[in-house]
Formats: sequence, structure tokens, C-alpha cells
Amino acid sequence: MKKAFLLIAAALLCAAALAQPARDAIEANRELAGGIYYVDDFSYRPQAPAPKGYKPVYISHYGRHGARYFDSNAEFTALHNLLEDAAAKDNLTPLGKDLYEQYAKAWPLIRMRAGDLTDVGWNQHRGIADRMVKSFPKLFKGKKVRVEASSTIATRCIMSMAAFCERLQEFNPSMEINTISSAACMGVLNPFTAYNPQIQPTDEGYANKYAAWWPALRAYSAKEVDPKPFAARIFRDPSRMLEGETASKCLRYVYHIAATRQCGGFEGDFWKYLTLDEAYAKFREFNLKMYLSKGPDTLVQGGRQWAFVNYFMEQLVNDTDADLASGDISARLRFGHDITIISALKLLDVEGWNVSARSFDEVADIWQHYRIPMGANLQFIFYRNGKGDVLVRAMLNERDLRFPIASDTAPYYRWEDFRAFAMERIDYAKHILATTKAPSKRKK
Amino acid sequence: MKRILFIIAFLVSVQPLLADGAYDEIRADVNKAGGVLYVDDFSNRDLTPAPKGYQPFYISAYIRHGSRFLIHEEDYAIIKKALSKGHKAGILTPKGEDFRRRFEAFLPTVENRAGDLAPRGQRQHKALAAMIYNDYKPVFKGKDVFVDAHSTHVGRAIMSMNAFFSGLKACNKSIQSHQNASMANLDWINPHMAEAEINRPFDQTLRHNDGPWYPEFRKFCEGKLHTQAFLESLFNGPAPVKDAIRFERSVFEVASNMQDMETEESFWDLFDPDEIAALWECENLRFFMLKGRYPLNYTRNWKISWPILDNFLTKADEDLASGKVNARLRFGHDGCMMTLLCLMGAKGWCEEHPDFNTVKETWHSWNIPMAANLVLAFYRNKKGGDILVKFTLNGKNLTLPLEAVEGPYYRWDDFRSYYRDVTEDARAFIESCGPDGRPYILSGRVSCDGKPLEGVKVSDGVNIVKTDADGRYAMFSDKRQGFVFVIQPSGYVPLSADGIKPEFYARLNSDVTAPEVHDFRLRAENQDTYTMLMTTDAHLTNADFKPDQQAFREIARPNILLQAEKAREKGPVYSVELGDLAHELYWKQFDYNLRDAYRTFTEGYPTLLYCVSGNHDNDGGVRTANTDRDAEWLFREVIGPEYYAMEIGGDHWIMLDDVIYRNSKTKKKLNPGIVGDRSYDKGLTQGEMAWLIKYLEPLADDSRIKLCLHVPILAEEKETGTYFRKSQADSLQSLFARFGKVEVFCGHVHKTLFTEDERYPVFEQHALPALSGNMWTLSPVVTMGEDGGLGAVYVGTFSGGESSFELHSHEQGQKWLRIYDMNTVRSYFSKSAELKALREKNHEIPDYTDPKYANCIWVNYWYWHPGDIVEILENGRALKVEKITEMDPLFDVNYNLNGHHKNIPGRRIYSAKARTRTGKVLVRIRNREGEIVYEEALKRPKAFSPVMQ
Repeated sequence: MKKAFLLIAAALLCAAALAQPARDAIEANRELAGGIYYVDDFSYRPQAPAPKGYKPVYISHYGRHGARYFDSNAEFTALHNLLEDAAAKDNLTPLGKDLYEQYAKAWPLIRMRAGDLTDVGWNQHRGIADRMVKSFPKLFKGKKVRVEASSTIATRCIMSMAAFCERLQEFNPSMEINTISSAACMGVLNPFTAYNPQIQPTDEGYANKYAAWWPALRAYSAKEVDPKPFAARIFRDPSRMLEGETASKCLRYVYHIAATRQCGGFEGDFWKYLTLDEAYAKFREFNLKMYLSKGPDTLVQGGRQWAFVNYFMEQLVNDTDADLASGDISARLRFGHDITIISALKLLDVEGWNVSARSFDEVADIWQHYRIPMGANLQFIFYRNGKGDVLVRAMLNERDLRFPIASDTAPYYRWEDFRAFAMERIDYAKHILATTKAPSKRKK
Repeated sequence: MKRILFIIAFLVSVQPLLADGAYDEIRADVNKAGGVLYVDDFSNRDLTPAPKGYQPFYISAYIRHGSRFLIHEEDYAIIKKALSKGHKAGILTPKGEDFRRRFEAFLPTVENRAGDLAPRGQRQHKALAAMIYNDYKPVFKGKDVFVDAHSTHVGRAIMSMNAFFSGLKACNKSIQSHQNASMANLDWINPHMAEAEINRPFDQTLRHNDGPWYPEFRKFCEGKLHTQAFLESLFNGPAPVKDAIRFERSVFEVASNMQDMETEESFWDLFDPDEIAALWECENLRFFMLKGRYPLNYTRNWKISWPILDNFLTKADEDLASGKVNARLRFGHDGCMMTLLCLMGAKGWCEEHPDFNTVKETWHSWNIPMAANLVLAFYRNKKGGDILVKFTLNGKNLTLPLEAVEGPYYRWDDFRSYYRDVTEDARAFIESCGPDGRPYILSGRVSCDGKPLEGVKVSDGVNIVKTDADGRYAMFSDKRQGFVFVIQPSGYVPLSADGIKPEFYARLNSDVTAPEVHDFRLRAENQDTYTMLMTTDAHLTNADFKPDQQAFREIARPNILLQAEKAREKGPVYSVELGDLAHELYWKQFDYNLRDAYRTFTEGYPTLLYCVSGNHDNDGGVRTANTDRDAEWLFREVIGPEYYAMEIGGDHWIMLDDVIYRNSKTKKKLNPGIVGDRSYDKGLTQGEMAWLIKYLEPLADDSRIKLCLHVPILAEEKETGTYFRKSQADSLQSLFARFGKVEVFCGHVHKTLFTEDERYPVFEQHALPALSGNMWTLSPVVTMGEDGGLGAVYVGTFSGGESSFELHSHEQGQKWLRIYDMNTVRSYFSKSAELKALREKNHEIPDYTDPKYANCIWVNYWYWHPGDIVEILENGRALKVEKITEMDPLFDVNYNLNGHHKNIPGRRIYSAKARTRTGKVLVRIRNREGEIVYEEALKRPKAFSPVMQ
């Protein structure tokens, strides 16, 4: 794992020099081809120390749920039926038979569990909580510690919150931890749902059928992803596949199983059914989809796709003001999804997340969704000195982020400066929403 | 089981004075009226000590989530809307205005919180964990404790589980645990949810308002509640609510839920204490109906919880063997706890209540309050011996149908083996149901000579199923039509004890949910060519003013026997009778009803006989909430199902009831035994139409369809062209269109009528003349009908899709028309003083003596088919033929001389004026293809007499 990170770091530094940084990374570590399914070990690493005299006083957090099963029971069953049918018709190659046997072991363990948090995911959140209390022990020790946590209504988010808070409670049994999961939290925690009053029906979700980028993505897939060689490796006669299924669908199903194997819940190596090129092609397709959905795309859209996250960010700023003023809360934790983090990184103009690609082909080189892996999280740590000055430092997956804000002590920024910058960006996002139209109701 | 129920019933019956027990409990603690919304602190636990030397070492539990917000935003919306409207209109009482103010203040606290676990619920679970920890300390103490927990995927269950563990770990921080939340757990934590794999569409029907329970529930509410008084306490004048009971129950629901919220506010003061108890009783009944032994859920609702019980047993075996799990927890919901307890035969949860008013004596919804918990605790003795179990609900001992060892302690082996059987029985039942979850109520076997027949259709008048390779059929049925019948397939006929009544149906008993088995035996018959004798409107009445009994026996029956004998040469012969076998007006008056008529009609009948019901086959002495069905009682008793079908020789014969009997109130003087005007609508009921659509659905477009019904569909004299409502006629046209052509055989009109209508091109309608002519009232030609035609038997011969028909009058052979030499008619009428006097009484009756009729030839061609052309030639030269509306003179004589003075215009009378008095006349009929189908030479003068041919 460490090797992968060194490579990624190198790739980022020499982005201009390397032709295909993502491909190389994936070649060295196939699991990265899983994109947002990537399970990072979030290895603890030393953090830049706070400036002298400053002590941590408050944490504001947004964490994606931990590792989960792939989120479609229908796909689990479709792959099962497809392979059963092929086996019955004696239409599988030896490699296909191997896939059939491996999947037959996996299927009973994963069926009906689409979207659930796995044990791997539970332990990820225990780990993040563990590192949080160990990094900022004084914030969580004592008799008057209070933590507020909220989660979306997704089962995996609630369970992530439970795992996280359980570890916190172990650290200090007298800690008061208040948790809530409710539709009342949804607008803020997932500002791409109808609970956000700014949103229109055709803006909703991650892959709304009205989204403007579908035709472009389909054209890209048609050009870049060729499922035929894969199908020929698995089926003796791909044309005899179960009716309604295609080579393209089969590749998609197997890619999803391969990508989520690292998330736990079942065993086996499913990457072996895809060549490196196929894995990379599927990665690029998926990566492009996420980039278009919530990333800094300017080729097809005008920013409306990420701008809704302002609703979350403004609430975070308001919460921060209130919590800093009262001093009652040690940490405010929020449990949600990747899309909120991805869009927030663009909203806050974060280095490494704010550059737009000049072509679809370029996207994978400058933006990779495996950097928002399972359990990805934003942590804003607030520090105060004796004079009452407040600094903030933001981390993505426990590594410091840089912002275009003037500071002698970067990655520590004055809270007033950071706040002003964030509000400016929030206004900018609102302006985008006011000057762009929701996608038309015609299905793309 | 039976013995236990008897004991329980006995116990219930000796406690009549405690019938108010539930109401007393509510008076003592109004929050109990909240039922499943009740907040119980569980301080009233039995905590019966274990037998000496025994300690708990493992627990398996099912725990409901804690206090929650209401599940449906709609409850708040209904109240808000009504109060807001009332306020705007200024019709709220002071109490209503006060409620509105308090309600509006409360609303923001529940916005977007529907279904959430409430903060109180989290606290409850933390406290419950500590309570269970202390009650079963030996299980949870120490360093090596592992607790395995699963919840459904529903947020409040997951959050309850999380809160429980935070409470448990506060008691012993070394406890290891594994928490899992998933939809995959549903089958064995909450099988009632639609997402559970075991759950079927029928299970959803059983718990929603489209289920069979709902009408009875509403009726109970209407009887119990004082909704009007409640509305009047809040509104001056008519309350602005769509559904008053729903509104009151919504307010009650909100009031019940206040105890789960963080507020001190209470809305109990809106209700009278007695009304609170009544509202609880209704909601309690609802839970009983959905979760207990209420017959109309077919036992499926509680047997579906078998996987929960199975999980308890199977996992206990696993955990006891491995020793690795100290406690196994399931976090779920209220309904499944009730059905689990019902399945387990726990006292208070398994009783039947035919009288809804007694439900409250045993079933108390507040016993499944927030954070309700079922704990199966396992005990062992260091010195060895049996493992014992204790099963408690909220810490209170449950009485199970097992022999205990001591107090509430049972031998685990006994518990396990007893409930393994219970589980397997329930599972077998659930798995025996159809794919949509409905159990098979009707089943049986269709056979011929002992051999099974596959692919034969069997129906209950709602569903249609096919027999399998073993000749077996099985279907769900709510028995609403009261019959199960086989649709005889081509090449087979049902057995018949008397050779007349085909045994194609069985009557169902009135126990709607009880399964029944009915076999059908058929015999083979070659139907390559077969004949159908068709009669209608026999109108047998035994009246004293007409000779129907004698005329039927001496005139009509011999014709039927003759036709049957002739047709037998070609192949098998069957009969259909198209209704009005008797006449309800006279059932009581002449003590002769449909049963008597059927007996008379079928004396020595020569073939199998299939009947449909006519309007006069209904009982005019019946008017109920369901007149159409209830008035049919005698037809159903004597003859059988009102609608059904047969497949004969590759043809589909569909027998329908197209009379919707109303029998409305009337001020007119009524005959004895009659309570209404005997009115009826013409058409098919919704249920019958739905069955017809189902029957036709799988048929190929080239299927041959024949409809038999009493009232015709098409009516020439009506502007719409139909007797049926235009919309239904249009629907039938659309439904049948793809089959190209459908022959319709009907009666009712007492005339021979062949009708086609380009607006309804699929129907080729044959209206048959009445067997009885004009109901046997004419004289001397007793069987003459209103159109001047004669009572007859219609003989259809069918062979491989080809149909051919003959109309055989009783005494004059195949008679299509009658030719009149108007010269002799004129002479006859001018000589009759009687007929002259008749004309004086009614000037509309034609004056047949009028000179204009001299030399005219009239042809009454009742057998006219669409497109037929009547030619009248004199000495070989074609005369100009015109259609006239004068009444048939022979009919005039046979009808009006018997006390009537009516002018019945002729329908198919053609006239031509001959040039001579005696020249040879030829009447010729050509069909629409131009072929000559009939020729008759007329030698004039042709005599006119009352009995002429």
C-alpha cells in the first residue's frame, strides 16, 4: 500500500512529465482501478505541527461511509443468472468456468446486501476515529466532552457513524455523544437530494437520467471500452449469452465485482478476468463519469453540477461559528457520501482538485476518483491561542490541503480569512446556480 | 392446538366482569391507550428466580426499536389542513382554536422526522441494555464476552442497536461485538416488509387498506367511535375533512405519540376518556386483524414469521455448540413480534375472536411498546442436567403451550423440539401457497376414465387455472361466486347422473378461508360434428289463465324430442336453454317456481342441458343490498353458476348472465310474493366482465366464440343499436374484435330476429323465438309469437368451424314465413262482427277490409337475415315489393280476440300488389350473396283462418 502512495505522490509532483500517471499507478496496484471503491489504509503519517501557542479546540468533519458492497442487487443476480445459464449451455471457456466457480462462492454472501457497510468499512471508521483521538487527545479527554454526529439516512452511513462513535466512546466512556440520522439532515449532508431547497428534479443525484453529460459519456464509452475480447475469453460463443445480456453488460458486472472485492464481504481475485488495459479503460470510464457528475468539468457543463454543495458548506460555516462561540462541542461529525466531498473540493478551490481538463482524454491524467476512496473524509481542525486567535487546517484523508488563501503558516489559515474565502466561493456557487439552467426533462 | 384453544376460551368466558379490564388499565394510565406508541419503563418485570443451581449463560433476544416519530407525515398534514381551513372559515370552536395554536407550535419539532428514532428512543435502548445486563449478569460479565447483533435496514432499528451497544459497553467495556444492518436480514427479523425475500404481493394486501380486513375494521370503528361528537367539539358546522374517522384517528395517533417526544405538551385533553379507550380499542383491533388469528388473513400473516422462530432455534444450536456467542440480538419492529408470539401460541397472542368486542380481553397492543423486548434466556447448572430456558416479554413471563419444569422455566429440549415442529408446519403452509402468496383454497383433480387430464381449465368465477400433468388444479379463491366449475375441454363432456344435468360444477361452503377439494370426472365424446338444440323463454307458470303445462307437454316437448332424435344421426346432441324458464311474477301466485319449471322442462329431456338465467328467473320477492346476486338464489340452487363456459368441438361456448336485477321500490299494486317492480339493467356485472376478459385473454385470434345470454346485445329499434349500455357494448366490441366473428344466441324478445350492426361488426346475433310463442297466451295457435312467427326449437349443427342452422316450429316444420292472400283476409275480416268491434276499440289496428289491400300479397318473413331480399312474382313477373308496418292479420286474430286491443306493428312484412286475383304468385328469398334460399308458390285464393299455415 505504501508503495502505491509513494507512486501517487510522485505522479502528482511530476504530473506534467508523466504521460499516464493513473495507468502506471493502476499497473502497480490493480485495486486503484476500483476508483471510489478503493480501500486505502489511511496510514498514519506525521502532520505539520501547529504554530506555537495554538491548541486544537474543535473539529468539524465530513466523512464518506466506509467500504461497502456494490450497490445493485439486480446486478448481483444478473451476473449469477448469466453465468448459470452459460454453464448450463456449456458455453464457458476454462477461464469462464473459473469465474463461474468463484462467483458462485461469492453470490450467496453478497446477494441482498447491495450498498451495506462491510466489516472492512466498519473497521475503517474505527480506525479514523482512533487516529482522531490519538492525534487530538486533549480534545476528547475529560468529563465535559460533547460530540455531535449526524448521518444521512443511508444504512451504510448510519453504521459508519456507529463504528466511529463506538471507538470515540471507548476512548472516554464519560463522553457525551449525540447522534441523529434523519431526513431533516439530508439537505445538508447530501445537497444533491430533493431535501436541498436549491435543487431541481433534473439536478438530483449522482447519475440522474436527465444529466447533460450522458450522451458524451456514452460516446466516450463506445470509443474507449471494447468488451468483445473480454467476452471471448469468458464465453465460448458470446452470441449465445442469456437473452437480454450483452458483452458490455457482462464486463460491467465483472468489473464491479472486481472493484468491490477489496471492500470485503467475499473472497477471490476477480481482477484476473480483466487485462490491465481493460481495467484501465473501465477505470477511465468510471472516473470520467464521476468527474462529469460532480467534478470540475467545464467541457459539458458550467459548474452547476458541483455548485449545490454550497448548501452544505454554508451550514458547516454557520455550525463552526456557533460551536466556536459556545465552546460546548469538541467535534461535529457528519457522515455522508463521496459526491459531497468531491464537489466541496472544487467549491473550496483546493489544490489538486480544481483544475479542469481540456479534453475527455485528459481527465484521468489530472483527476482520479481513487483519491476519494472508501472512508474518505474532510477534517477541519480549529486551533486557538491565548489571545483568542483561531486558525483552521483542513485535511483530506488526513493529509493537509492547500487553498489559495494568503497565509504565513499554511497549511494553517486564519479562520477569518478562510471563512471569508469560503463565503466568497459559496456566493460564487450560488451565482452559478442562478445563471445556469437545470437539465431539460428530455431523457438523455 | 384445539385443546389449548378450548382452555383459553373457557378462561375467557369465566371472566365476564373483567371485560372492562383493558379500559380500567387505560383509565389508570392514559398513555397505554397509545398502544404500540406506549412508553413503558419495564419496571414491572417478573424476574422469577431460576431453579436452584441454575445460572443464565446465553440469551437470544428480539428487541423493537425505541420511541419514534410518527411514520406518516400525512397524519400531521390532515390535521394541519383541517384546522387551517377551519380557522380561515372562522368555524373553529374555542377548543379547536386552542388545539390549532398548540398543534402549530408543536409541528416544527417533527418536520422531516417521520419514522426517525426519537432521542427518547436512544435513551430507552441505553437503559434497556443496562437493564438486560443486570438481569442476566452472568452472561455479560467478564473479559471474554461476545455479542452478535443484527438489525433491519430501517434507520430507527439500526440507531436503536447502536444505542443499545453504547449502553451495554458502558456496563462492561471489554464486551466484543459485531453489529450488522442489512435488508438481507429481513426474512428472519421482519418478514412483513415488502423487501423481504419471503414476502409476496398478497402479504402486502393483507396489511394494507385493500385487504379483506378493512371493510370490517371500518364498520367496527363506525360502531365504536363518536366521531361526530369529536368533530363538533372542534368545528362549528360541517368539519372540513374528507374522511371523518381518518381525521379523528390521526389526531388520536398524534396524541398517542406525544409520550415519545421531548415535549411536555399533551393532546389527550382533546378527547373524552371513554373515547380514548374506544379509539385504543379500534387500533388494537386493527393490530389483531393484521397480526393475530383473524380468519381473513388465511393464517399467512402470522405463519410468515416462521423464519424468526427458526433463526432463534438454529442459532441457539450453533451458539451453544460453538460457545463463542454469549448473546445474540435482533433489532426489529412491532408487528413481527406480535406474529411471532401468535405463531408460538403465547397466551394473549394466539386466541381467536369471532366477536371483535372480545379482542381487548386478551390482546393488548401496549404490550408491544417502544423498545419492547423478547428474551429467550438459557440456564445451566454447573452440576449438569438439562439446559433450561425462560421466555419473557418486557421482562414478564410468557405462558407457552408447553409443560414447564418449574414456574416459567422450560426444558430447552422440549422447547426446541416443540417449536421446531411449529416452525416446520408454518413453513410448509407458507411454501404451499401460490407464487403471489395467496394460499390455494380450491383444488382437485380432473380425470376421464380414471386418467388425469392435463390443461383443463377450472374456474371459481373469478380465477381461471389449468390442470397440471396429474390432472390437478389449485387456486386461491375468496369463494364469492359460491361455485367451482370445470370448463369442459373439447372432446369431453361432464358425467351426468340423469343424462340431463351436466355435473360440471360444485357448490362451495360458506367458510371463506377453508380449503376445499372438488374433483371432476369427464367422459370422452367425438365432437367433430355436433348439434346444439337451442330454446328460450319457456315461461312455464302453471297459471290458471293459460294452458302452459299442457301445451308444453303436448306441443313443445315432442318437437324437442323429435329434433334430438334427428340430430343424433350426425353426432352428439346437446341443448342450451336461454332463460325465462318460469315467470317470477307468478311463482307465489300459482305456487310454481323455477324449481317446478325446471322439473317439468327436464322430464324425459333427451340431452345434456346447459342453461342461462333470464330476467324472469330472478326472485321478485327479493330486494337487498345485493339484489342481483340474492334474487338469483333459486337459479343457483336448482341449475348452477350464472356464468360459465364449455369448449365443444373446438368452439368456445360462453354462457353469461346479462340481467342485473334491481327490483326497485314501486307504488304499484304488487302480485303476491313480489316486493318490487322487477326492473333490471341489461348487461354484465363488473365481476363477470373481468372473468370474461380473463377467459378470452389466452385465446388465439382464430378461436371460435359463441355467446349465450338471455337479453340480446344488439337492438334494432334503439338509436344506439344496443340493449346494453353503449359503453359496455363498445367494450365488448373491442374485446371480441380480434376474433373476427362471434355468434350470439339469445332470447327475451319473443321474436325471431337476426341482427347485425356495422357499429358492432363482430356480432352475428340470433334472437330465437320463444318456445312458448307469446308465453302460451295466444289462441287458437297457442305457440304463436308477437311477430306472427311460431314457437320453435333452433337447431345448430357445428362441424370444424362451419355452422348451419334450422328453425323447427313445433307443429309446422321449418317455417320461415307466412304468405297472405289479402283478398281472403279482407273477406274474412269484413264478415267478422267481432273483429269489426275490435277495431272500434282501437283505431290503430289496421282495417284489413280497406280496398287498397285488394290483390295484395303479404309475406311475413320473420326469418329475415341481414341482406335478404324478398321477391314476389306474379306469373313470372316481378312485382314491386315494399316493407310495411301493418300488424300481421293472423296475429291480430290470435291475440286481440283474447281480451287484448293492441296494435303491434309488423317488423318484417313485405307487400306487393298483384295485377290479378288468381294469377300464380311466387315468393322468393335471396340472401346477400344473391343466392336463392327459399321459394314458395302460392295458389290463390289462399284461405285465411285462425289456424292457417
